[in-house]
Amino acid sequence: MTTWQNILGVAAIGTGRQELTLPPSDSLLGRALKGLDASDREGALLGAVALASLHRQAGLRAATDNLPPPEACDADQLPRCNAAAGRHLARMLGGEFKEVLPEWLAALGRAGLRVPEEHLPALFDRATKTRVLRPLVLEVMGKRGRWLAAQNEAWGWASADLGPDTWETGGIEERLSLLRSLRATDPRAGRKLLLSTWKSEYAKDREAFLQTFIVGLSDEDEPFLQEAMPYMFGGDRSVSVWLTAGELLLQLPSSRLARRVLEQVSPLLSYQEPAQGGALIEVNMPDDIKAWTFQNRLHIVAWYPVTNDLNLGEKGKWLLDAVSWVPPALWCRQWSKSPAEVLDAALNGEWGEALARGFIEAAGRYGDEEWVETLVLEERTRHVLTKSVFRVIARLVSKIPAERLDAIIIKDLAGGKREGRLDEREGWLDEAAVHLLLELSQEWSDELSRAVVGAVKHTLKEIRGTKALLWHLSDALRQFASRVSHELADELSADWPQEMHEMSRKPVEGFLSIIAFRRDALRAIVKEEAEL
Amino acid sequence: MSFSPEQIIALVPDAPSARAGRALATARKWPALGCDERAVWGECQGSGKEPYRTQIDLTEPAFRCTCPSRKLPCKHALGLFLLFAAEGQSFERRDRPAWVAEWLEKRDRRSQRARKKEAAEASNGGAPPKRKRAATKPGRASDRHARVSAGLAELELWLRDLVRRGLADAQSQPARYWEQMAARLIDAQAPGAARRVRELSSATASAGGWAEAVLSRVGLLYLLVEAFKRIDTLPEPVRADVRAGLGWTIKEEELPADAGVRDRWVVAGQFTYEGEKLSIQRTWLRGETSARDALLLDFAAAGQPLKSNLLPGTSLDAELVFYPSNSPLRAAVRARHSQPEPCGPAGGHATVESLLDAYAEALARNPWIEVFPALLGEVVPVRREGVWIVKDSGGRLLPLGPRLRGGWEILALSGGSPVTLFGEWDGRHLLPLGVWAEGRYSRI
Repeated sequence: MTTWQNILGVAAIGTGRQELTLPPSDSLLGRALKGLDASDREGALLGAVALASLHRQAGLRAATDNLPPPEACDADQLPRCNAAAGRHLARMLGGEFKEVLPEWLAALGRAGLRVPEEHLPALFDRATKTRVLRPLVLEVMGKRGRWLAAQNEAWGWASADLGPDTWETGGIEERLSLLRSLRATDPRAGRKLLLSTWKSEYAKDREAFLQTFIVGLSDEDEPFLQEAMPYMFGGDRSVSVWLTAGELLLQLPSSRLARRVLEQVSPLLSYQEPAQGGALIEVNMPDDIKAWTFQNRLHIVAWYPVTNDLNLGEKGKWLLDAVSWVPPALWCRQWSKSPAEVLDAALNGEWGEALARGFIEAAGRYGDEEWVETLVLEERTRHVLTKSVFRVIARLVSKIPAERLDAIIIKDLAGGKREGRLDEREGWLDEAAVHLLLELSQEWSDELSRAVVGAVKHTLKEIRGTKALLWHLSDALRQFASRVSHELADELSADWPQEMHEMSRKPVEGFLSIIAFRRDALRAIVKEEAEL
Repeated sequence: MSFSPEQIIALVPDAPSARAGRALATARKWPALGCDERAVWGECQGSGKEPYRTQIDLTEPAFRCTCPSRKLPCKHALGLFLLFAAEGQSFERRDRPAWVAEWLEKRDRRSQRARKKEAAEASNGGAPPKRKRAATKPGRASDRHARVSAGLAELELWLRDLVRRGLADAQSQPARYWEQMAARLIDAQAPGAARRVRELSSATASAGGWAEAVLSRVGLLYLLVEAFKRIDTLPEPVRADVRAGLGWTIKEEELPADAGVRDRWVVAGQFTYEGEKLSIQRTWLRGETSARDALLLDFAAAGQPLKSNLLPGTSLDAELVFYPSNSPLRAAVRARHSQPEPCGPAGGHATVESLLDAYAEALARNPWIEVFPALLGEVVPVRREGVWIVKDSGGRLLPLGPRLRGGWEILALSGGSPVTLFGEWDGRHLLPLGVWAEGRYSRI
């Protein structure tokens, strides 16, 4: 037992119960300890403690190991961003202006720069939690980032290599990105790869894999997709998988499913122009909708209710679904009428609401720009959109190119076709308009930025300090701030009314501080160090 | 005098104040702004009826604001300062309004009085200042000596009782057991000893290895007690360490007037401890030529700013004067001869062994040293089973700690190549404070 352990032992029990006896020793410590008065038990122990513990502390030697350290990283080619940009990044990683981070990272990537090394860990942690940041981080992490990520399992997504083995041995993220890149370059190879392991994949993985097929989709994919669809027997057991397959098949107008849907559903509606009254659409509703569905092998229609709410009744819901699977352009072609005329006629008829909802779903599914514009701007359908859950709006515009949506919204804000009283606490920016704006996640055009900010300022000036903006609008201001054109920041920050309701003040201040930060942060990226 | 945004933010007591300050750093919030060569001022609309008047004396800097906040600098002062640093040229150069001129005059009068006093003392032949609280007044000093003796005598009895009963017994004692002894020592004017007793109590509560941690602290307390008994027989530098260990403070003005050490001093690292009632900031300097280490201590009541405006990673030409000690570390800046500017690494220990040798030497001279400056010239960070260590060129390891702080950042900065690391060594762990990698300094 060493001297120290000896001392520890006695100290633990107490000198009341045990005396400290130290074997004689010729070491420096031993000789010092000998000088203690053994007759004074406590004093001797205390003295020994003081001497021995200091002796240990001063005599500490470092451990060694001969394990080789990890290989050093290669030098980075990408230059590091300047110190000011680094400070902005530190603020965003610290929690301020988090919503600006994706845009900032993208701008850094475009400028061909990388992030300062000391921020890599925090950035990786953030992107591990928030998936959408990952591709942006990969662009700006540099070689140092890849090297660092390889040393932490949690950051595996940043160091993954896509090799030939990835499909067999990789995780879901890597396999998905492999399949995505294959579909972009060689869709057939992608399909073959998926086929090779199709039977053994999990259902939720299958759905994700199938969704990559939207890229490079062609008639060649039909047999495989048809396999995933149910008919009387067989087919995939997971509803979401065969719905995904069905959606893809319907994007191929010459596929059997698409042709079947067209053949069976189009005779159900007919456009009537009676002598008195307006045009209307009559529905030739089958008596037994279930039998009809089975007969025509259009299970996709019956078993996926698009909406669960609404007082549409069984047949109404069925009609909604049936119409939703038909490209709305078909009706225009069939009857040589414009979307507005078709809509008008539908709403005049008996099944008006179901048809309108069905057209909305169809327009979204097939990305029909003309239909989307009509639906947004028409007063009566606008009313339907405003009542719906925002998911409906998201589906409606999911396939519309941003420029078109931009133009539609600008038209809407310029007065649109909405008659009836506007609520002065929101002006033109009703809930539908706000949801549409939020679907435009990229930076808005100058014109749209001015139109939106102009509308908000105008509304504030109208209501002065007596009323507050409606909640949906003031809540959305923060998100508007990360989308308006950052180059117009100064112009957009000017001319705000001084007088406003207390409840509106904080959202407006938040808006202004976000656009000021964006302007500073995005400008700092491209400035030379000396200029700052 | 120009200040960078970081230096300004460093003046702020806490992060929420920093955010509030930044939010006010826009011209929109300041209906009235002005400056001249010495001061900056503005009026800011707050939630009250009258706008707040805020002003800054740039020579120190010093702040004043009419808002009700007790923090200094308040968010208005901070916002004004940041705005001035960013957009100074857009401030109108004007004549000072009356409320600015008044304040500046008052400040001038106060500092004039202080300087007159100093000059008077100097002409007295350096006689000690006639201050009521001076410890050099014989009557007072012997009072204190008696009080401390009494307190330490009780401490000795208490320590003896502790080891008689045994540590295992002590671990089960209620908080009162420690707290009473600590309070007694505060009354006896030995706050340093009181703090050590409190630390003893929390050491018993920690997990694994507590017995050793407790025992080493007990040993140091006993050493302090015994040293005080013999204090008159000890050489003066050791006496200074005993007094410091007991918690007696020396005012900066009382430091020896003879020449300090002038050198180019690199600010190697900074550690701020924000307690409930008190904030403490340790700023470590390293002399480029003298290779000496120095520690600057700044204190502030909670919520008040810390005065040090030295940024780690910069160096400046200055003269430091050291507090008396057998192993001098604590110092104060007597005079600055240049502005701080960013700098590269300042040498440091080439090996871990060299650092540990220096530590042993310092410990031998002053056993009550608690944190030791560790500037390691070339180490590589490594992660072993979730624990961070640094390794020198000879393969020797030093653990980082005590909490997992900054390990990944240091690894990212190093990229597997050696870096210069500065931290505080406490005998068991190295607390990293700053890293120089590829010529750049990063604060950890």
